[in-house]
Amino acid sequence: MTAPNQPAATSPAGSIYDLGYRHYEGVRHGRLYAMWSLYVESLRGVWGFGRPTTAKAAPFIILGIYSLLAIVQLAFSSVFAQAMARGDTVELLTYANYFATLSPFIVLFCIAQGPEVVCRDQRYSVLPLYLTRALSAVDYAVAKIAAFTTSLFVALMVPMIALFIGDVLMKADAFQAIGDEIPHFLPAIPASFLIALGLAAISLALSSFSPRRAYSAMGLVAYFLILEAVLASVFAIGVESSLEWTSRIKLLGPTSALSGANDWFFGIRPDPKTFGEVLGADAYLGAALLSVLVFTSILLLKYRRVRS
Amino acid sequence: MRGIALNSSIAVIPEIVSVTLRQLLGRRRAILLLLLATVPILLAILFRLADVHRIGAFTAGIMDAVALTMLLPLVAILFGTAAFGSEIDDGTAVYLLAKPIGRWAIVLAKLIAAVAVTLILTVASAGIAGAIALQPYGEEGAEAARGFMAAMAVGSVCYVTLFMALSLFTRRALVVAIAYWLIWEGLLSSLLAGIANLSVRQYALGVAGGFYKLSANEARVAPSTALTLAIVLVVVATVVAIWKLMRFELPGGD
Repeated sequence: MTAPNQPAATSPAGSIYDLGYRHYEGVRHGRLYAMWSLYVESLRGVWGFGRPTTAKAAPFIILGIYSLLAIVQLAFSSVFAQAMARGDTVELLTYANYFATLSPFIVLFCIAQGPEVVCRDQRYSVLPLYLTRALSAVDYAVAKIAAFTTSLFVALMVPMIALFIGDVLMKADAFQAIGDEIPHFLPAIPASFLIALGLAAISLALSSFSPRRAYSAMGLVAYFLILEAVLASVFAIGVESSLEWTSRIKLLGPTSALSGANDWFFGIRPDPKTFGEVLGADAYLGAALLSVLVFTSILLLKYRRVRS
Repeated sequence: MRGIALNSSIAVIPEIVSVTLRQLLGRRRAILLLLLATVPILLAILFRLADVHRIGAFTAGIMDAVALTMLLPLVAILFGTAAFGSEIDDGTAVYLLAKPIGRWAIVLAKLIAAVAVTLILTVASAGIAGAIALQPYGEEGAEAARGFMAAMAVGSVCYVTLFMALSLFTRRALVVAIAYWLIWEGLLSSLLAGIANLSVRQYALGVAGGFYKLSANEARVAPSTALTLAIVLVVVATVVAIWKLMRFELPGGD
């Protein structure tokens, strides 16, 4: 293009060519506001708000299945209460073991919705448009991770709250029961937050490598499910034989590290049957934090250079 | 289909098969799949080195838990949903469907290609893994290894046909297939005994049980029942896929 018009003196910084159209003269909200908008938009995208009903199906169905058992337990709480009055213990699912028991469903949520958050912008090449104005690449990545972490945190907390309500309803004196129950419930909040952050960092970092949702989903399946199954198999071989190092192998597993870290918040020891007896919960907490760090860095590095 | 000569439809099948094979074995996918296929082999080497003196540990820990439950469905999902899915996504399906070829021939050709690659990959991987891990056990080990290969073969054919039929019904077949695999095959078929008769994994284990005595906990369906049900599943899924493709309308616009 030959010599574009000289930008007028009043032209705002950041415009590329002044083609003579009328200028925007309203308020400019700046970076933080742009990050906030991207955060809200991505959060709505994960749950399919503002999209057709079909886009809402996957997240809500998976969340429904994930929390189903907690809700069933809530429904049966009166039955359980009678059993407990007889002195039987019927705690099937607790705040502490819920994630470890039903993690495949929350992983399924990551596989279905994680690629949704980052792939579309690359597939339709709109990423450079985001980054020409107020947002920097780091802001973009932070807003996306924050949005997916929030979604996962909500998904993880729904069954926790259902369990809380169920446990409170079981007791005769509700106010007394709330006071008793809160100390058990509180560790679920930081634990769920760490799990959400860990899963979000992994999901988005791996998804960002392919603009196609299908390939991203396969990558997540390979990392979350196949790696976990292989590690479980190696661990089982170690139990059958005299290998030493296999009892530490679960540190590498994405969901098992998070599940061990979850145990740390509740102050219990990871189940020796699946985690071995060598390492305590603090080792898994370390592994989980390290994985958050590594995958967040991968995501940030990935967006350092953006192809248009 | 009326007006389309049967012979010309049959004659074109090898052509579609070879085109599909080229589509399926793209560079990235091929690398991912080779990595997946080496997993059971690496585990078998570890099994051999670790000196585990029990065939049961191999059949349960590596054959069932990793190869049959995890790797096989994943490979089948990749090939089964991509055989039609990538053509629909890329917009090349229109060139195929506009040709004067019977739709049944297209389905059969796609099926042959997807089943062939899945079958070769998984059965070869199972054979090598079985040979490495079970070689010290003599005849009994050989029986178990043959059972392992048969299970992978039955599982491949069933899963690929099923996922291909699925990919004609929804454009998000991949996620639906993964959900089916995790929830139905993974969770429910091990929790509820009645579902065993409707689970591909159980068919595969049942057929394996015909070669080598698996524990009753693992193989819940008798070998002959498993094989019959597997054949019924494949035939029904193929017919449904043909029926759906005959009524298939190309998504307009994009």
